Amino acid sequence: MAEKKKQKAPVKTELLYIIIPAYNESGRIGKVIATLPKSIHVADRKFDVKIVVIDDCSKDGTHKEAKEAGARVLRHVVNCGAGAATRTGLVYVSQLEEPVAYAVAIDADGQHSSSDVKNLLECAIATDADMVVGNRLHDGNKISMPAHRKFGNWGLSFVSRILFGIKVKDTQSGLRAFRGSALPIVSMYTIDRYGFATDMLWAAQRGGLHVCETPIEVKYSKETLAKGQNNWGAVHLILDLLWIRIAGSV
Amino acid sequence: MSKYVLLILINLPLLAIGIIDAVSSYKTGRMSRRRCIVQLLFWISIGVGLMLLEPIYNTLIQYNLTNSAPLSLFDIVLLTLLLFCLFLIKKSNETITRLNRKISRLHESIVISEEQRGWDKEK
Repeated sequence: MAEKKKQKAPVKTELLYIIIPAYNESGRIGKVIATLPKSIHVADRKFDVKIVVIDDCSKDGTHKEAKEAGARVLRHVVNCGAGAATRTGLVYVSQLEEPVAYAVAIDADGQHSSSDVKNLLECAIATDADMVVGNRLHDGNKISMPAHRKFGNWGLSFVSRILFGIKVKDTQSGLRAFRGSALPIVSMYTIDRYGFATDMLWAAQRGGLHVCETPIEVKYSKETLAKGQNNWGAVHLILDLLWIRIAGSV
Repeated sequence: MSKYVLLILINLPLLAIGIIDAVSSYKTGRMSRRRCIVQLLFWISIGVGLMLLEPIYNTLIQYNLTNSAPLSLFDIVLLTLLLFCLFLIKKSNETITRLNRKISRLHESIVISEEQRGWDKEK
């Protein structure tokens, strides 16, 4: 009797888009793109990685550097804010003709580890989540995260919980993964500034999406800390959140 | 005619316009349900406030809490103008919000179509 050879079915390649909103990130954006993997294997699924950078009208060579690093680049004509840049990326990916399995949003300043993209994807597949948020506020990041940042992030997550009932521990995290079919829902937020992170979670909550969290690594440098939120930014953010809670949108 | 009735009559069209505007905006899809409810509550509370103005004012006068002269015609005009200003602020805010969102979406579409055009050329 001839033995039938068991042949493995060819692994179907799916598309994973990495969205990087960037503003004046020359000198960093190229390194961030270079560290990202070209393809990712999770369980028996293979993802081809494509990168799209949304240059929010930078004054330096962010656009050129990102293009040279091999990313698709979308350029805002006027500076609109981190929220608007992320939304442009989400809308762009959701409107592509080719079906996108997952999209991952990552910060351009290099604070996230490229290996966490795979962690997020693994979590999304294992839990069948529509959206996965990378949680920086865990014991493993106690040393690397400055105290004022830790307090600020904790405070904003607390405000988000009080105002919107969002149970995610790190609402301001820039590392997030989305299922392709969830992109039109998560891009429905209206805040163009930093408050978009909470507004997006609220849109996901209203859209009935399954949101999960997974711990991620975070690396802070002098540039990263200098570019972050100042006190006025935090006040603006809370005012934006209060306003959307009352009026429904900005 | 009582000055309080006059006050209500003068302000009634404004209240009606505010309420009709909120409902019609919601029905035509220009406003979310939440926003419509907030606006309706806003205008209804103003209406209730106007209706309760006489007993409130009388109570204040009775206990000498205002120590001011009774409501004059000038006060009525002033209050009406104040309400009209609130109405204008609300309308301006709505217009700005709508325009802001339109520009944002337009900008988004331009950026995406420009990229796609560039991508097609490269191909």
